[in-house]
Amino acid sequence: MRVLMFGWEFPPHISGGLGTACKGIVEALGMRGDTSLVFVAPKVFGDEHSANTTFAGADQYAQTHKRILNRNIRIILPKPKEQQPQISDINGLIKYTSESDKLIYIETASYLHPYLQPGQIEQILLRKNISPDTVYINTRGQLVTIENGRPKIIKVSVEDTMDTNRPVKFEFTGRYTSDIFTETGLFARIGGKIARQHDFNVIHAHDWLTYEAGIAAKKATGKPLVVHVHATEYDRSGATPNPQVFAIEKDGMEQADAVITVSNHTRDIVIDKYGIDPDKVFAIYNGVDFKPDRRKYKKPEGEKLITFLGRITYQKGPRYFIEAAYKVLKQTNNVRFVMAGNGDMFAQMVTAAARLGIADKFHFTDFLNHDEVRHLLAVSDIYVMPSVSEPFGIAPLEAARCKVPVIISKQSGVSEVLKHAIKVDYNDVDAIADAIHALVEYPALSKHIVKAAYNEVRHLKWDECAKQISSIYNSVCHNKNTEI
Amino acid sequence: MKTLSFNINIHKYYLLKKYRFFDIGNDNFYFDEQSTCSSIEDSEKNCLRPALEMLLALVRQYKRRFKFSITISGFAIQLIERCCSSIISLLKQLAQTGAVEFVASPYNHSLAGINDTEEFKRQIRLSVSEIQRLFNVTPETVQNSDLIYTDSIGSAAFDEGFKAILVQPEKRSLEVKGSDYLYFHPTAQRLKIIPQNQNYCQLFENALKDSKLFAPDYLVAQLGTKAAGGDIMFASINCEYLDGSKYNNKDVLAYVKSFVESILASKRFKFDVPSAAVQKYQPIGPYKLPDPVPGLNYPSYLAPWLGNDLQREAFSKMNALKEKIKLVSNQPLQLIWQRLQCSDYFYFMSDGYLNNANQNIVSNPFGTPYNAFIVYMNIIGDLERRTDLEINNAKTDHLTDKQIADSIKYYQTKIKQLKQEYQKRSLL
Repeated sequence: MRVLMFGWEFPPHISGGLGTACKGIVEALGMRGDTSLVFVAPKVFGDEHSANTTFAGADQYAQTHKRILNRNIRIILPKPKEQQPQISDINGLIKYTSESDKLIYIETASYLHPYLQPGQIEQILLRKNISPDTVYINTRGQLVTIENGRPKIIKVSVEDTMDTNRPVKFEFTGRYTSDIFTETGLFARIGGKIARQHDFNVIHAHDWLTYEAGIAAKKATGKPLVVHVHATEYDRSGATPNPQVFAIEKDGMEQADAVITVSNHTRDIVIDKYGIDPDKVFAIYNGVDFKPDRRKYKKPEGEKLITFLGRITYQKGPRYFIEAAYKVLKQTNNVRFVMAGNGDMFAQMVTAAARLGIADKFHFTDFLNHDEVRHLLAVSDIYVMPSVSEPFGIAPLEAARCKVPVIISKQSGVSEVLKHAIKVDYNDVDAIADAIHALVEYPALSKHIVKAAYNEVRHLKWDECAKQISSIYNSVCHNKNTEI
Repeated sequence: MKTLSFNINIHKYYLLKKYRFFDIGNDNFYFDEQSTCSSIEDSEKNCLRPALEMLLALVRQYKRRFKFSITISGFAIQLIERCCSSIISLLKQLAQTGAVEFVASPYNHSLAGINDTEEFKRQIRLSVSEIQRLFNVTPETVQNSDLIYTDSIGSAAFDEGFKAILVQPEKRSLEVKGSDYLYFHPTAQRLKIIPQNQNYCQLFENALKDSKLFAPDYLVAQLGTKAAGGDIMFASINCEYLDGSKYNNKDVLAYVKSFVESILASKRFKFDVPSAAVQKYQPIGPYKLPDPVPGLNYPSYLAPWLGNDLQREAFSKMNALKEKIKLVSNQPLQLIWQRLQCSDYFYFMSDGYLNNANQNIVSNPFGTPYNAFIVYMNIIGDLERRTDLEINNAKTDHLTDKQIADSIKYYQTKIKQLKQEYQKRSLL
């Protein structure tokens, strides 16, 4: 079986959740021996490696990509609330403050729900040698400086936002920050060309960014298309999906000969919201490939560390974690909470912790890199994931790998896979608090969960995932042949 | 002619509230009395009344050719008396026919038989006296909760004057001939042991759950294969299975009726009650099942109740309260502790509930074993707090002599323990 696979990123370059999953799948498929792959990503760096896999970069794509990076974008800040008196100046301009920095919003990339880091604007301004003190916000929410007594809009290019230390992150792409629709469209055109250069039996496209490329390849060659849904627009934006993304997703799923989802939870969304024929939608769980940090760290004695790890956005349910922490801290003293990550609700959560008077026991770490995450998991006693909606959610499995008992919401795909975890409704704060208390107070409970979950997770291998994907390849190829 | 001995097991327990840890110290009520009562009322309407009426009609119709036995736990009696007392008179009528035997069982449906023989005996005596009071018959056969059995449970039953005990057999303890024979206790040899035929029981329960699976005639035919040979085939059926509204089986009662009728027509089998069966047949050998060694892991036949760490932890915490509870003169606290002994709570903590494939499992009111554990431990925690409070505040003047003696004994052992600990530390 020869597979033409479209992905958006591949480790070691940009390893978001999608990249990690692609790597797991590609490697496991390559190891099977009966499958060879051509993996097409927008840019290939040359140091990606996997057995039986050729990496093809869309070079032409990369050139255009550079042009896009140099294009100017506008940064727009939401208008300040009226009840907050701000220092106002000529022409209704409002003084720029660090407070407004937390509400950054990049217009051209707005479809992507970028999760931007607080303090980013200040950095951009400093790099442009503009003192933040001289910056104002006009009535349309744009950043301006005063030149000759007249406001002048500050020009910022895409590249300016790409600080290497703290890149602007999009939920699924990693570092691509231009108008994503131009990019996906471009990728699709090149996808069609690449498809003609290679010989293969089946096309496999990961997430909506590559669906158009997958469809183009299918049209060019007539080979069957499998699309892999790692997340849907409904998971990313709740009840109000972006119509353009939704349309691409729906089109991709409809054109596909088979749709693979990462959980039954996502499978239901694909069937209900996108109206896809259930007979061609298959749930295949991800594997886990995580090396726990086995070093011994010193921990405060008699104190338990309870961890929330993830983007601090509505989708991840951080406020339920804070509320539960408050309830636990009212009665228990030997616990400490940590919220690791960053996101648009960061400021709100810090304020909430302060307002509830638990800030001495509730800590924020901001964004953590891979090693810091491993360190945090190594010292954690409980991991909580109260996600409102989660297509899969690999982090609890990694926590289980690190022998940390987990509390997960029933609304996550991972709860279908992980039996040995305490499952709660994401908004049932009492249940979350009670579970935390029980894990702290009743050692037998956490001992049992840790042992059982560890054994469970050990068996979640990418091999199994690859085996099921392979059988889907076979069935779509078979169907295609019989049709002809 | 082979004897068939069917037992209907009626057991109810008190549903627990969603008792959160912030309720500890604030809420003295652990039981969801309302839901308990309404579930009993549902059970009366859908299961107990129609089933018992049908069985009574069958007994009357076939005179004394259709016989069976009933085990009713103390909590079931309590709850039925409270929520649907008319069932008691139905049971009484069944007792009066003489074709139905009542089997004694631990009043609290507890696991006391495993680790506390005295408590086990006390509960058996209580069960006997309740059955005498309500149905005017004296049980001659006994069974432990959920048919759990070890050698010491057998001896305790024999001490209480029983001649027969119903057990869930361990395969390795049976002779090669299998479960369809009588056995005797290795030391108390006059106690006869009636092992359940597990294979057939399983088949029968599956058939009751879904009548389209097998025709009644097939069940009769299976008696010839799954229960071939032997003297007596014993199967204990949970009365929940006679509930037509619960499973995919509306006509379960008609199904049972036609099963009974085809057995009676076949002439190869005969119904009888355990106490009569033990007089007809001779046991074929001893049935030995040594008691679990304290401190070691519980053996596999206790796995459904004490198989995982959660169950063992909850069980040991509950037992640790035993000595303290004896010291308090506060009746409600003692009653609560009695109720918490019920084996069902431990059963709901079993890992089996995480496995969707396991079809033969009763629905878990807690949802998951982890919830069951958390709620139970929160309650035990609060009960312990209240007991401590009670002991510390108790005035000594209205304690009974026995309680004073118990208190002295308790504190003496406690002091001894503390002294030992102190010595150990000073040595270090």
